[in-house]
Amino acid sequence: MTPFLALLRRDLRLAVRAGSGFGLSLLFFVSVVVVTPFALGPDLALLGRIGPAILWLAALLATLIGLDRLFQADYDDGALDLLFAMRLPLPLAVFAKALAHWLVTGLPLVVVSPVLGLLVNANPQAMAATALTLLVGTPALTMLGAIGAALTVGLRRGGLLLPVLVLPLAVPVLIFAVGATEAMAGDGSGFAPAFMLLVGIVLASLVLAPVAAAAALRAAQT
Amino acid sequence: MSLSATHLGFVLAAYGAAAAVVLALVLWTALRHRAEARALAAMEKRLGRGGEAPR
Amino acid sequence: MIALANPARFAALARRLSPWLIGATAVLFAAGLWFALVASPADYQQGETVRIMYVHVPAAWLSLMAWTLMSLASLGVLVWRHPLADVAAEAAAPLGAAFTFLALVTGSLWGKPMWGAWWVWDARLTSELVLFLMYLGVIALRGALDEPARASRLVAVLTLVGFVNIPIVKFSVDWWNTLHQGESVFRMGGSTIDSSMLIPLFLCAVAFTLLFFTLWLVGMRTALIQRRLRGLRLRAAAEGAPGVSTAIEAT
Repeated sequence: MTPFLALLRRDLRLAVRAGSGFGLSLLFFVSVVVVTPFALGPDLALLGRIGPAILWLAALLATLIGLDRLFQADYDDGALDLLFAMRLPLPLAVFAKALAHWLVTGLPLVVVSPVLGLLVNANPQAMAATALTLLVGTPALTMLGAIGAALTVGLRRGGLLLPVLVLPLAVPVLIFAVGATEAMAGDGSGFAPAFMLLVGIVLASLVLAPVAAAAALRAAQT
Repeated sequence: MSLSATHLGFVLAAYGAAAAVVLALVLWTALRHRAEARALAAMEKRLGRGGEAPR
Repeated sequence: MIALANPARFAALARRLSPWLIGATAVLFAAGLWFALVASPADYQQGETVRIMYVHVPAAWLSLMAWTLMSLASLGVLVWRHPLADVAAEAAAPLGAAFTFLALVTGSLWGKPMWGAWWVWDARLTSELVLFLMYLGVIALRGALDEPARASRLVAVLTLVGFVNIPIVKFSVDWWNTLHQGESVFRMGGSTIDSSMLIPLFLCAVAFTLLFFTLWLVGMRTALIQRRLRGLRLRAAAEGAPGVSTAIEAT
């Protein structure tokens, strides 16, 4: 088995093991979506209009909050040094870890989002568009978050600093994802260009973010 | 009151904000520099006086 | 660059340059303010509010320039290992943040009379606001890290990652249909602004830039002093020199 797949498998196993907080990100996602209408009031029309945006915000927060675990466990037990020693190029190793993280925390959000779309009164096109943009966009969020995770690994107060550092980077993904979803919820005409741009940004992030995160991991070595 | 007169407040506010920011930056830079330079001088004096002597 | 690599020589040179820079800054500000507030015309459409441009535009230019300088310094830290690079990056960040803040505030004060809104979420304003958050992020990251060497490298990586926002801010008015004015100064076909307004604009821009460099050099000297202090405190704590409090002050 190639080093990439071995690392991927290892991280997947560790993530679903007891004590690793598996499912917590999903729980957080659902909680935020459930709580937001309480803050907004019962206006169903309003909710329907911004429902996709609520889902996206909740997904963004749920992703960011779980990300400090990405390198922390390895840092604590010294496995991070093994990452450096692997034959696998560090950016690929980062990609493998981030992919494992997304499969465990991001993908469940995508799967659950149509059900939550009902809670926020989204119409079927909006729900479909939201699920699609989440499917495409959450990997980018995880990958960009990996940069923040690498920069804050080992920090005591890293938990709050990570979202602060990553949110500015995540803004373009958010803009085009919600833009595409809004276009679909309306007459669907603006969907294709916005979605294309989203895909472009996501692909760029998937390639560049692991490089940046790897650079940050190397920079964090004492 | 002419249109430009009512907008004068915005112009003054903008220049006032600029003056405030510039002043704050200058003071912060200068005062911090002085404080650190003094701390360094004090530290070097202390170390020069007691550094070589045994405990 | 190589000649300036010695911190002591740099500090001496910076100290000698300071009075000249301060003087030049003062003169340029005086001239700029004169032209901006007195010796230039009001705009045909905007009236007196156009004078806000002479503060807003230089502040915005500097907000971009500071991050660009920080990015070059970050390359200096990571690639060329220049000894002064980290100090340059550290000193530039608060200045850049302040000018970004000023650009946002003066822009808002200009937008209200011009567009009727204190804020709009168009591409340029949004990306400039994001730039402000990134400045705060860099400052926060440096503050959260104890070890100077590690801090310098991590902040350098973050700065370079954030540089992607600079072209976004710059070209946002070209790429998107925005409420914000398009490029009117540095354009291919020459500027579209009348020369009577270009003069105060450039004077103020040079004044603000000189102010930046003046404060930047002082800030770098301060940062060098802080590093030296830290080294002395650690050494004193290790040697147990009398009269030097150890654990609490040692950082």
